[in-house]
Amino acid sequence: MIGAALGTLLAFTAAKAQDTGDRVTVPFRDASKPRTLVVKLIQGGITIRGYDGKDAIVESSSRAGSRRRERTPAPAGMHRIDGAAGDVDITEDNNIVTVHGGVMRLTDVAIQVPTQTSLRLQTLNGGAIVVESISGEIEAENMNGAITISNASGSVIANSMNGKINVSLDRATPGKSMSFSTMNGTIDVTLPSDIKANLKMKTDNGEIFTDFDVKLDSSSHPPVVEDQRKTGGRYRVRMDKAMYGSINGGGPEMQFVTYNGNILIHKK
Amino acid sequence: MRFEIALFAMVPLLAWAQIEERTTDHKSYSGLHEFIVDNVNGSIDVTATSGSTVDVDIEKSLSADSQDRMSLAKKEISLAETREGGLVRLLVDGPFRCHCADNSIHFRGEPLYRFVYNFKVRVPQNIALELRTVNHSHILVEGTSGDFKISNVNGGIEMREVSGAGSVHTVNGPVKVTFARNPTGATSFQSVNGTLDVSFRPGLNADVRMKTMNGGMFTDFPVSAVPVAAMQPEQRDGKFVWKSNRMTGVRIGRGGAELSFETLNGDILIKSRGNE
Repeated sequence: MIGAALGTLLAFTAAKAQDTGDRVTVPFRDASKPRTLVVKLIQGGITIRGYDGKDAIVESSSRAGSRRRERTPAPAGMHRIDGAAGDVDITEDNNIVTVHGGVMRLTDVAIQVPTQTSLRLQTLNGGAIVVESISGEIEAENMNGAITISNASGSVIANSMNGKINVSLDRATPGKSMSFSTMNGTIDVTLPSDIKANLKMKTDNGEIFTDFDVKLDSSSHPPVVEDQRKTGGRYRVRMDKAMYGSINGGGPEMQFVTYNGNILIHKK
Repeated sequence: MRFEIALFAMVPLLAWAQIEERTTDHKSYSGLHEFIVDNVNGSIDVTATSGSTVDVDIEKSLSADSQDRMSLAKKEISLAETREGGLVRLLVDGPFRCHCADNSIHFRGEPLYRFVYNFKVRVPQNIALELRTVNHSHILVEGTSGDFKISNVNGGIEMREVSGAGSVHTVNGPVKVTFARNPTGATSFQSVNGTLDVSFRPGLNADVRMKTMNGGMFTDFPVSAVPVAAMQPEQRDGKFVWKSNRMTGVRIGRGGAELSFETLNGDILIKSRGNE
């Protein structure tokens, strides 16, 4: 873990180096307009960090994945040369920079973008999504890995299937709904102390903890009735197991959903 | 009933009886610096000798399913010979050539006849070679020291004890090269479905770029990593696109000649002949 963090740190400090095959500087075309970074990987981790600059600096590196096909052994007396080049294609279109990872190799990307940048990040296997010091609309989706967002401001939608969600927001865009969900993992979210929000919290196997003064609302969510008997269908009553509440007088909806894991909502 | 069946069976036999015709030819040239063979179906074998002439044995074979088709084949398929100073080009010509700048080959539909040219060539050592073929083809070059441009499609390429620099490209087949002296100029080895197996002399100094999708990259030279060149953006419908070339770069020795190895399905073997 420390090694990985150090590696990331080194990658970032080396950012002033010359562009090479594994490092590309992609300018956002219009500095006055909002910027968006889109990353879509199939295998690999995504690390995004805001910095004081104008361009997206994309670094990619490949590593041997755990599910890599059985390798042929090296012929006698020879050694293997490992392909270290990352496998990404990058497009810039009207201030939207899109980074696509290849299918054949597990490719990790580390990208620096100007602090004020919106993110849409997606990966399936083999890595975590880490976001630091970004201000904007952040959307992160990871199938088999954690999502960690820190020193951020704006709004967050974070969704994982098998991973922890860890988010810390310094400032929240007023009036923006947010969502934090995972199937298997803890949801740990830190929100500004003055945030106005209506909370919807649900965990099937876990508990909910917070240090906010949450005004719980137990009345207004009756069971949902689906009646399809007229068309020969079924009659179903669905109990809403979520807990509802509001903080600081209520506001946009913030959703926290996990099946196996606790929900922690901290006050910044 | 039985009689009818027998009759029907006989008709195609009569109509599609295969006619085959083989001819041989010999050509000899002196004072050549460059020799080009542009073949379509068939192999090319080149051997260096200590002599100063280029001797070519050509075996041509035509086959067709009727006499008329055979006559057409004889009319349409020919070997065009061009000489310009110290350059000779032998080009298998026919209606499939576009006769444009690159003399590219286009086949449409079922061919009316089949044709194969096999070349056996003896050349002086230092001649520059350009050899091309497409089908039923193997290219073998032995002992030359001039630069080369070798291209095949459905077949392998083998070069033994050669020197010089150039390109060795095929699509379906292996590439096997042994160098008598290491190339000092940029040289590329390519296949799509095939292993690239290239042996160099010990003490090789080269910058190597390589890529394979389904295969390994191996060497017995000590290598150090060198970064490959940065991606350059291209503009497409108003977008800027950076495409990763997925190349791996290594340096052998002090670095030097740029050697590139590219295949899709196959290993890349960079061998030192010191271990032979």
